[in-house]
Amino acid sequence: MEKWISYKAGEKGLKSILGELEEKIMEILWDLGKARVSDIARELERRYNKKIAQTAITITCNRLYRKGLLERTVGRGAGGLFYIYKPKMTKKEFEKKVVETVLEGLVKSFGDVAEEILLNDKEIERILKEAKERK
Amino acid sequence: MKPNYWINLLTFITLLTFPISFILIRDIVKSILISILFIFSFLYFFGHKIIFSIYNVKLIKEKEMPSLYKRIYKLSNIAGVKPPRVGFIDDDIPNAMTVGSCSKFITLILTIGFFEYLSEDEQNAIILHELAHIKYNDVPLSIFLMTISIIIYTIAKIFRKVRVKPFNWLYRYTLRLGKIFAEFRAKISRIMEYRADRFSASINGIEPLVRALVKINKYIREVKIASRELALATSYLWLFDPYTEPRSDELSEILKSSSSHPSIMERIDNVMSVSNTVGDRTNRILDVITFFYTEELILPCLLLVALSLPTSFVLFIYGFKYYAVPLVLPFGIVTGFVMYKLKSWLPRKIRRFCLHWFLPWAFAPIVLITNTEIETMTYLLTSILSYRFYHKLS
Repeated sequence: MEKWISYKAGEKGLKSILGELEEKIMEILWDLGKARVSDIARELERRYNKKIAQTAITITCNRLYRKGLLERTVGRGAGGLFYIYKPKMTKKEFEKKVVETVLEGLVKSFGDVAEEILLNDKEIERILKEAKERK
Repeated sequence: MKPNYWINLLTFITLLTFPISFILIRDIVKSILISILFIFSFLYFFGHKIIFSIYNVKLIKEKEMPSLYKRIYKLSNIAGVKPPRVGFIDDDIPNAMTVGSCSKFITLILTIGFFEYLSEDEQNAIILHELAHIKYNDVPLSIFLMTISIIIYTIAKIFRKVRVKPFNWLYRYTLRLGKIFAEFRAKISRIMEYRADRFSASINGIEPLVRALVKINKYIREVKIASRELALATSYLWLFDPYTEPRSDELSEILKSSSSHPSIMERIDNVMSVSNTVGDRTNRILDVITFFYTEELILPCLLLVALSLPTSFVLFIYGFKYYAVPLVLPFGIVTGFVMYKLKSWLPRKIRRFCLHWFLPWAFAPIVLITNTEIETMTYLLTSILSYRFYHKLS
């Protein structure tokens, strides 16, 4: 399983995979394409009307980089050197990867039962229907 | 390049110099002395290159980042040191380090995390801390202590490999000696760190430094880096020691004591309580030690010792052993005068080549040729006097 995936079944959307700040940063980076920490801080303040310390954003960005979700290059500016962060995959690719990895994990953990459900179209249809109803 | 490659290279040099010098002079103490001088010379002139290779340091040219250099110049001016070169490491851990023993090679290495994580005021406090290491010549002394550690490490490694009974006993004692020396090294390192902190606080104020130390410590606690032998040996050069991995090999304890850097609370306590007493007793002791490692004494000494070799050799052959003492002194003065005269004749490139490539090896033959330590000391003293004379003329 990918090292960045720790699936929380009770949460919705990206929150089921990432932490709160991680999710917000990823969303911003998917929208902006690439950004440095100060840009992310500005965008976070604009979107959520909440000021988050740059140090917290720096730590979170590095965590996302270590998880393999972000790429970074070194930029040079008046204040010194800085990292420019860029998502490694698009949001669609990311979501696809999450689903694939979770399913793979289920097959690994509950082999026969998981296979039985996944190969049974009726079962899949029932699960999809239930999930849509609960949404 | 991997740190282990360098430690193996240094071990190889130590292994090579020791038997050669032993065959030539048949004196175990002098052979060890020569080995120390060889490794020290190697690290003195190439130490920064090793660090560059281990951490993949990239140098920043002044043209590339004029604003950063402007800040470094300003702070160097305040600190009263020659502005160092600046290099960076692509790492998010906020950290800083000063490498290079000769003033030409002194490099202030900063990580990207240093810029990302710290405010400008905090950055200045850390830069001043590093400039204090340059001001007090801490790097050459650290390198000298590192040299001895590497030699003890090499000897212990040999004793461990040879699995014969007396060697087991020797290995145990070498290991104990190495650990005692590592503790001593850690003590010196702590004094250096405290002194550099106090220097920074005396110029830039206590608050930014304390803030920076707390922030960096918080960050470093989250990150663990795999320890490697030479990375362990060089960990003393960092502002903070990032090598927190527990060591499985008892040999590596020779290269680094568990307490190389004081804890954050100890450092803050040191800055808060004695920030106004720069120059206390511990500082003065260290000042005396570091005095002998100043570049302005080492380089010309080596040059003059090299130049006085032919005369001393002649004197030695003709049996002027102790009478040589008064004869060497005027020779040193004459050498100083010749040096002064040759200054305009010799192209800068050749002088630089002599200073940086040829001289480090000059120490070894002087110990080889001279029969007594007294004579060696006399040559050194003569060299210092000649150097002073040379400088006075200049």
